[in-house]
Amino acid sequence: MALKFYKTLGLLLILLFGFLGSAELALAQVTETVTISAEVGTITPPSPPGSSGGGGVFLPQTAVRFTGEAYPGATIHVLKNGEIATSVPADSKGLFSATLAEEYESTVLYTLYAVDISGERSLLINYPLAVYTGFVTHLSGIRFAPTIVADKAQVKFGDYLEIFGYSLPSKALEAAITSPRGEEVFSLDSRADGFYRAVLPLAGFPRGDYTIHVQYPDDARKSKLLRFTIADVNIPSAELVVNIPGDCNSDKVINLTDFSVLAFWYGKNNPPKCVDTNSDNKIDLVDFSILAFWWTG
Amino acid sequence: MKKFLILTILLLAFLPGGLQAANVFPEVSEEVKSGETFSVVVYADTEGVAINSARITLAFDETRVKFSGYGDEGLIRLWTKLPEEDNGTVVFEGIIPGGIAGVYDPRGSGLAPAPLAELLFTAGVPGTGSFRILESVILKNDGQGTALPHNRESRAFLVRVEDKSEDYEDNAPPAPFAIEIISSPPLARTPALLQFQTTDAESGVRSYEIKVGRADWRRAQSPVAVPRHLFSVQVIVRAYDFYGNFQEASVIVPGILTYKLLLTILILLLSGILIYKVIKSKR
Repeated sequence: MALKFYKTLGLLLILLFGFLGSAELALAQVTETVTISAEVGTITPPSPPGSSGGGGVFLPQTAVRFTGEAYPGATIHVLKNGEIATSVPADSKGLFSATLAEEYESTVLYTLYAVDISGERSLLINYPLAVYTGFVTHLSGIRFAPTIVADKAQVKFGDYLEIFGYSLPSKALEAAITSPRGEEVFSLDSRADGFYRAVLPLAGFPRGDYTIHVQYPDDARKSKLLRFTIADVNIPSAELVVNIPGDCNSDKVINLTDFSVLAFWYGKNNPPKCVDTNSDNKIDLVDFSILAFWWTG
Repeated sequence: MKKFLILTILLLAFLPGGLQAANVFPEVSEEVKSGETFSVVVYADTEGVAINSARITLAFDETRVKFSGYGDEGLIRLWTKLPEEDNGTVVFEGIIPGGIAGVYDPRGSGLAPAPLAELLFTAGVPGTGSFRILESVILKNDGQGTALPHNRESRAFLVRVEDKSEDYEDNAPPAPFAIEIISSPPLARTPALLQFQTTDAESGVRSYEIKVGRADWRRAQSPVAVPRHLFSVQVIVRAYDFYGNFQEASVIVPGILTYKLLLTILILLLSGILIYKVIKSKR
């Protein structure tokens, strides 16, 4: 009887730990409902000039198509293996579709980013894709996180922070302010034209360094991360330099130049604060990983 | 049976986070011909977790194969450490800006493992060998550089005799490139930098060498601090592939003493001499 009990208990423990392990992996996965499909590609050449028929539609035999949501009137740029391949506009609802003809069968790294009508860029979204000759591969359900701009880089103690940017029209959003002490989330909504604006009261927030980002409540993808400080005086964003982790040259983008600066300090002691993205007084692969996360290109 | 239960609890207690399904493994053909140059692709199966950085040490049998370079099938495009041989291992490290969770393959279900890097090897003496992931660090694309727990795998292969050896040669130099000067504001701790980067379609870029003015050639890695000289100096950078071919680029780095500054100093000097002579003559 005792033997049977211990055997059963042992088996239950094995099952329990196995479940916990797989649950942890499930929770760790990115919550994005991108779907992929492939259909046989066809070529329909346009009608010859002078013919009475309407203009034909050219569909490449091997192609990749991206469809999804950005911001009304945004421009979506598609890079192929790091080189710009095409740019398409989003419509008034923020919907876009981009099709690229392909020639060879291989794994290709496609990168997309969106620029809203005020010129603010989203973070990069990568899609390594297996391309097959004779098929049109369609990646749908892509959604860019909202863009974000803050009016201040330093907020006077007890004052407010104004954020604005673009998202999909008439959508619920969340703005999260994070500090070493924890995270506080504010709810807001975008207008029918996709523009959102919020004045966040920071009374009760102690002096110190903070970050802020915006996202859709049901999406793991976040906007660009902006840094700000609560101190004694207000300093507008345009006047203060460092705002994005790793952006030591303060050009508001994270690209190869910032990578080179980080690479210069790799393994060296006492790096500058703006380079040390995780503030552990050393430059290692973790700092490069943080830079890679906020890469805008 | 108490012992069985205690053993089970102890065993599972030391399993990190339960059973890890993410893993890193090398992919290689089961058989290669002696003298043939072939690919070994290092994959990461992250189970859908987005990653953006990796450092891998791949061990190989030096008696069976030799490291011959790297290709462009991998998704790592920015290297913090180019693939380099070190005592029977190849070590590489780099990032994928924006991160990836796997490869979207319409013929499969879910995400396929992501190719991190393609390494090239040349088969030597016939016999069995293996590629083993000796060390690996994979970081999540979460803005914090959190490490992704994972398993490491090995792959065995066979080198067989071939009557006619196929010699692989890379005769093409790396692609043309330019040297960029990244300026630095006055008083900044980071100096002005010279940045250079290129690719080699056949075997990858093995190393870079730099020559500043009349100094000797020396090994270098981008970025390099801009050399400070009184007068402008020419800086030449060579990118070498694994077969000794190289591509050269050069840039003129302005000196501290520009022509404008020299002219200004000269004018001031001459003015000073003139003023002195005028004052002296009036006395």
